[in-house]
Parts: sequence; C-alpha cells; structure tokens
Amino acid sequence: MFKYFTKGDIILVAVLAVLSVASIAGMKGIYGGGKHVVVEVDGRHALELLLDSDVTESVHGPLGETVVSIENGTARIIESPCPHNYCVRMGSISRRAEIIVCVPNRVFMTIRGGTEEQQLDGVTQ
Amino acid sequence: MISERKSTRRLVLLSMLSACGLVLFVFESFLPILPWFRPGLGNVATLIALMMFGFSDALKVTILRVVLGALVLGRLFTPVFIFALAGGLASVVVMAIVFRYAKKVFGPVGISVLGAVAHNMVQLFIAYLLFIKSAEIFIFIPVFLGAAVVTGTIVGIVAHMVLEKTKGRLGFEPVWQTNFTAENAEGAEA
Repeated sequence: MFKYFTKGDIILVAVLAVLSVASIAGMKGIYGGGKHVVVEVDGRHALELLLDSDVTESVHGPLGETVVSIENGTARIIESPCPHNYCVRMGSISRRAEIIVCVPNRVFMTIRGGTEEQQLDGVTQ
Repeated sequence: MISERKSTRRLVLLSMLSACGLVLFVFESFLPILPWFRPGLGNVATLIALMMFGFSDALKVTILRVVLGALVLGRLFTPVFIFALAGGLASVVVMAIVFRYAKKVFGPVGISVLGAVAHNMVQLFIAYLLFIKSAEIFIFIPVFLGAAVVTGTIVGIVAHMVLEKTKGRLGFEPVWQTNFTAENAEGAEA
C-alpha cells in the first residue's frame, strides 16, 4: 500500500486531512442559536421566515418555483424545478450558518442569528 | 521513420487517454452518491497524460473530456459544464506546476491531491461568484478539502497502478520514471 506514496505525499495527505477534520470540528462551534430562515435568490434577499413557525412558502427562481418548508424548528426545500434535486436531498437545517443551496435555480437558504450579540464573539471599541 | 511511428503512437495513446477519461467522467456522473461528490476519476487520464507527455497534452485531454462529456450528457454551456471546465482547468494547471517543480517531493498521489484541492476550491469560488453570492458558502471549504484529499488519493493510486502496469510497453515513459524506479518500484526498501 505504502509504495504508492512518497514521503511528501504522506505528509501532504496527513496535513490536509487533519486540517479538514479539525476545521469541520471547529465549525460546529459557530453553529447554534439562530432564529431566522433567510432565503436568497440569485444573491438577492427573497424571503425571511421565523424558524419556530410552521409555514410553507415558495420563491421564484430562473427555473421556476422552489418550495421551502419550515416544520418543528427545521427548514428544508421540499420541491424544486432543478434537474437533480440535490437541494431537496440536502435534507433539513436547524442551526445557524447551516446552508442549503440549489445552484440551478439560484436559491440559497441559511439560518441567521436572532440578535447581534449572538452572532458576534466579541466587540472592541 | 522512427519519429513518425513515435508520433502516431503518441496520437493513439492520447486519444485512448481522452476516451478513457471521457468514459470515466460519464460513468461517474451516473453514480448516485452524495450530492456534489464526484470522485473525479477522469482525472486519472489527465494525470497520466501530464506525466507521460507534459502540460499541453494534459490540457488537451482535459478539455476534450469536459467538452465531449458535456455533449454526451447534454450539458454543454450549463452551470454543471462551467463547473467542470473551470475545475478541470484549475486542476491541470496546478498539477502541471507541482509536477514541474516538485516531482522529487510528490508522487502521483501528491500531485493529484493538490490538483483535486484546486479543482474543488475553484468550483466553490465559481459557485460563489456566479450563482450564490453569499459568503456563507465558504463554510463548505473544509468539507470540499476533505473530499479532495480522498478523491485525489484514489486518483493518484489508480494512475500509479496504470503507469506501473504499462511500464516499458507503450514506447513512452513518464518523465517521472527516474524517481519511480529509484524510490517506489522497489517498495520493499522504502
């Protein structure tokens, strides 16, 4: 097995793997909280909903209507006109900074924090 | 006479590499795994072309694969095509630079891992630039990085195996051959 790797390869793969796993673990820290589900279409603000509501809304993208649903504190895309429906298969999001993206229909959905204090680690003046 | 045969051989090998890359590219587009996660097996062809024939031929193999692949799948000039083209070009350029200046440090695995990292980062950046326009998308960087390490390693190992099996049979040897025989072929020493 190791004949396929030079020393440089092993170091490179190890460093990148550690970096990737560590930053995925680190990012868990910035999740949490979050009250608003924000939906953008083509970079423009399209919809803002409360995470603790039970609603189904749709937004209009270049391909047609993408249907967004919020239920039991989780938000997801339930219907999309895009060919592969990866956005539907991305499942649901419930914590701040988690995102769902539909590239073909230019839809971007995320959860943002409730107040300023929750979003920032600290403020210096 | 001999050089004519050699250039025909080269043409045939490049065509076969392009065809293999294309088949792998189309094949993996049907794999129902995680959304957005593709092993990038077609990159095996690019890597072999790079190591045997150099940058310009690797570039041709890559462009042929992406354009023909898009034609076969009916995606020419769609977003998926733009992603594949940008990622493919970034990957071949980075691999060529690494291969040119660091072939004593990295073997096929290292080269293809760095190529895969470039591929994924450029795709993420294109998604930000053209489609998403929200900086939150960069939260995917660690995930894309991890995916690149996995796929790059697989591609590198496959390319290494192919180069090893075809050694001395094609009339062309990878430029990296010296390193290959000295350090890797006699794996027992290492």
